[in-house]
Amino acid sequence: MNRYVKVCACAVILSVFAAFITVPSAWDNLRFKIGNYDIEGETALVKNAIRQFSAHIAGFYDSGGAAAGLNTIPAANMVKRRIAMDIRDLIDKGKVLAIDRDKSSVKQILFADLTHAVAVVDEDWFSQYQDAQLRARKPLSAKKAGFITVRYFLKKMWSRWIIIDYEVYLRDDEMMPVPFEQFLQW
Amino acid sequence: MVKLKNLIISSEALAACAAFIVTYVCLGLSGIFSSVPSSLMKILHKPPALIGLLFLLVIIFVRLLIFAKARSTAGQNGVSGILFYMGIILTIIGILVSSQMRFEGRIYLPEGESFSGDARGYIEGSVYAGKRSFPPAMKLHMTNISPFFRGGRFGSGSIASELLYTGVGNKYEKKMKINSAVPVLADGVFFRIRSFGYAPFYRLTDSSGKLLDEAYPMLRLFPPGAEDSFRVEKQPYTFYMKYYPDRAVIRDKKIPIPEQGKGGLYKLRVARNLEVVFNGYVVPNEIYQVDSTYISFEDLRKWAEIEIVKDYGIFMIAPGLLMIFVSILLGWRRKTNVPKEVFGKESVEENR
Repeated sequence: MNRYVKVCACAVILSVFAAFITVPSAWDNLRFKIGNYDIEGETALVKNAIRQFSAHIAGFYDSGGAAAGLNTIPAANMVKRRIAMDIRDLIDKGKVLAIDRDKSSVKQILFADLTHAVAVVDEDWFSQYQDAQLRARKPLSAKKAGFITVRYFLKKMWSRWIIIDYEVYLRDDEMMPVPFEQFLQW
Repeated sequence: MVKLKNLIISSEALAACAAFIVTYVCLGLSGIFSSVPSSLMKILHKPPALIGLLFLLVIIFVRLLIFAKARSTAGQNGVSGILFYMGIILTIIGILVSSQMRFEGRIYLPEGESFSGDARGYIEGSVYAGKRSFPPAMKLHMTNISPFFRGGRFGSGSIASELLYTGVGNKYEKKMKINSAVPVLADGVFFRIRSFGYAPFYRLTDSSGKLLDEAYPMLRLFPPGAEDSFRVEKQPYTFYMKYYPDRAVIRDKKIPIPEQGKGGLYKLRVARNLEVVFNGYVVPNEIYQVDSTYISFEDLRKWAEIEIVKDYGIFMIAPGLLMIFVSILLGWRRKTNVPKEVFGKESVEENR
């Protein structure tokens, strides 16, 4: 009986080793599954990335899309391109959109693995169209308040969390379940 | 040579092999080392599992030879035992064949459209192909998709569809029905519907009526109440949509539901970066202003996501498992008298 146990134990250990070395990022995934990572630290980094994103796009809009502002936004190129396209569209119409985030409250942060996170944030924004041509930025519309809930999809790349996509909902809108399987392939 | 043979037929070797394979499969299915758990077939195709199965194949084959010889010497046929060993051998060979020959891929196919079997037509990232596999040569034409929504708390449903199928060398088309519940087999290829959705045709224009864009975006709008989104090239908007074929199932009544029209309608929310510029129910064939553009939805097509699997290994694995099951039944019924000493110490002493 002892021989059986020893032989099977060796086979199990060999199998675990084989499974470990044949899966990419096995150690990171294991750490995540057993909870051996700095969840508070990563949560703080995710919150910081979202805060930076909001602050920098507000500045980017306000500057009328100055190219230097693009590099400071912690977002994927597709996201930056959409923002730049919106600003260009407004400039072509002689407008600039001045936006300012008044309040934000993080409702939930979920980690899918060590490099993918989803954050749901309630945000209050004020926005106003202004004349792009005049130095004094004459207002072209009344100041408008927008109360939204944003679901951010973040990925950790080069030790930095960046926003790879986001969904905008009105407050109390029903949110669809997160498509985790698809999200983990982004 | 005798020592090697004794090692191969020893119970410890069999137990070690089985423990290795079972542990490896369990670790793969649990997903403890990966972000997403793998399917059973993909785990069995990985090199460590294949090496374990090869060792197991050798052990079982040698055991089969010894068992068959012992039974014939004893004047007994040992059908259930032989069937058992052969079932395992066939199953393992099937897995080895599958690892090289399996082709698996998914396609989107709307009603009225065809798929020519071209490898580029498969959804990016959905193809899983063994080294010696190739996409099945065939043509599919989707004629009809019928979703069935059971409603209720879990919003479950099923989908059935009718296709025109043309295989390799076939000079005729044949009608084929596939569904989301059970794979359907045709010319050695399995077909099954994995998901379903709607493709509403939109037309986006500017204030002067100039066409900005039009298309059929394929959206996962099933079951009713499911939301999906699409973006338009060169426009800063994101369009979030829901589709209700039957207005009676609409739960969110905070926004007024239009009375015009009788059929289904859409729930549309449009965001321009971080601002919601439109939120409401829209009726097909009506034009709605969204910020500085105008949008209408004029046609609706259904589409299905079809999984296509071609795997010759399955045709060995299935009979192999059946043989194992039948042998267990036979053995249980007949209470077989397989001499337990065949692989024990007595035979080891005899062979020395």
